[in-house]
Amino acid sequence: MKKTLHMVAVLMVLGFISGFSLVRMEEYAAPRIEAHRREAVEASIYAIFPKGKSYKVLELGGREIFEVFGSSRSPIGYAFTGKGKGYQDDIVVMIGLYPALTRLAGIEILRSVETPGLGGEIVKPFFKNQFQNLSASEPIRYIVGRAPASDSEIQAITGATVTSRSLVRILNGEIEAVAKLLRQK
Amino acid sequence: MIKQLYQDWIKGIWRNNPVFVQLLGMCPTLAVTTSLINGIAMGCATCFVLVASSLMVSVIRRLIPGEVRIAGFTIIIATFVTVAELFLAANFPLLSKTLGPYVPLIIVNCIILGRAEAFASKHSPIRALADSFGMGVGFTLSLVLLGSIRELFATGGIIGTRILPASFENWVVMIMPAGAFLTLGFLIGLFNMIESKLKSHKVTMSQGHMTQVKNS
Amino acid sequence: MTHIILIFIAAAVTNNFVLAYFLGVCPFLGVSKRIESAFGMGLATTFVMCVAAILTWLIYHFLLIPFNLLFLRNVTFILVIASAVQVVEMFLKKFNPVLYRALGIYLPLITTNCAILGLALFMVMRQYNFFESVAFAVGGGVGFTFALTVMAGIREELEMADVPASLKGAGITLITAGLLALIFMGFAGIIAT
Repeated sequence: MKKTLHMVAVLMVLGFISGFSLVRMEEYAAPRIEAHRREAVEASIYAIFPKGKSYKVLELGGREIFEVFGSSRSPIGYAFTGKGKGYQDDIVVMIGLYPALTRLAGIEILRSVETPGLGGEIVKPFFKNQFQNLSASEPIRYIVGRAPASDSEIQAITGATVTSRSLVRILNGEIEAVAKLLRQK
Repeated sequence: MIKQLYQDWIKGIWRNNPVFVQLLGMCPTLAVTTSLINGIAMGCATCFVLVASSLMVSVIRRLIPGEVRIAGFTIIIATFVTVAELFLAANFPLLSKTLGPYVPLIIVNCIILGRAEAFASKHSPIRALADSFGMGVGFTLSLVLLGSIRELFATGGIIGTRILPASFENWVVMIMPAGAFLTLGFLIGLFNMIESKLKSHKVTMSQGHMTQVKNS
Repeated sequence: MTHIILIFIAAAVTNNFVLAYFLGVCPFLGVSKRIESAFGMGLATTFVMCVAAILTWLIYHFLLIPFNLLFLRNVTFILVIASAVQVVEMFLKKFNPVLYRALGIYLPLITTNCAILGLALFMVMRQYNFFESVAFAVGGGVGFTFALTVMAGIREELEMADVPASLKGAGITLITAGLLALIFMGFAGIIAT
């Protein structure tokens, strides 16, 4: 009985010390972690909207949409994140729409663990820039084997069809959902 | 005393290297060695947890009853790992994202529990410090080796600077899981080969010495 | 429903725990010498995985999140896993002593199997709901068992082969694992839709 009590007591003491140290560590780390997260989001917003100077967070339909402002009072665009399964794992992308909701301002890849040299190329400017000014009125299509003909088509990456297809699928889904929310506003 | 401490420390680097000899801690070794920097970061984090928990286990070794020692060690290890994880996320967000879920997995890195059980719980704090630090350094060195090789062949260079000639076609497979397994397998084979050559060299040396003594 | 099945297949095949995420490599190297023990270990691990997934999911969603204790995730998860293994051990000892003796030291070692803690962490990271988590755990366990058993089959054959001395044991096993990983890479992307 005394032995069991001793065992329990030792474990409880260890538990308390552990809990206490972790609480203090969390107090130290939490604000910093939040700051980093916000920096990453902001960096991607301003990469899509180079003229952007500030943004407001809109909560619509359960998601966060960033209303981006430049030097004037009216918004220069909207930014929101989209997530979906790529080839290896999830892809997280920041999408930018111009205020008319008919054209894309661009995209930034926030998270991608696709194959380096193939699907991993979606983070490179040559691929991302295709989305600047792309039409958002109809679903985006990825093209293989010939050059894009209309302004809602982009060139897929050779050898990375799955990644390209997944990204386009994510974009179409998110754009449609967010555009609907914004039109209702 | 110093000699003893030195022995405790050095054995973790070659003779009892946690990765190449003891075959422990394989999960992080294979998962995060996609580059030299990642290898160093994971190695340092593991070394920190290893040294801190071994020290703590050694200090309280007389106070923990035998039956609950594994549970107690686990609480200690898990706490230090969480500390390391939070510190990394707060100060090195990019590394934290790359290393990802493998930082909390340090908790189940068999090296840490293994050293706590086999050494730290039975020796003085100063010796536990030497032993765990040696294991930590040995582990980090193996990660650095594996990480550099994989990064070199997968991207043509290390730490972002290109070393191999431009005509070299990147071996992308090295960055993928398959490349990790293959590289580690061959490295272990190389390690064993060197070990056996050193051993046979020592044997012939001592045999030669004995014939010399006999003849003189 | 298809979503759940896809998670199961992904965890078992395309994103195999051992060959894609490096979880459970220690037992993969240690217990894969005989097909029977490999299969038994795989089953025991799968069972612990399911139990652990359910318990950690409940604790995460009903304790850690509501009380803002997310930083205690690591400590609570590993303690839950260790207790689950202890319970499974007692259960096996009483109801299937043959398997209990066959697994020997490897049963308590399931606690340090990165696959279990890794499963819990991934599940939390991906914010799976309850049923998705169970599918993930079962799929992961099945995939682990599959990889372990295939490896055991190959190693039994390798014992008759002429392996260079320095590669015997861990070396050739890892190289074989690498080739297996290459094969499994072919499955990736099948479930992107």
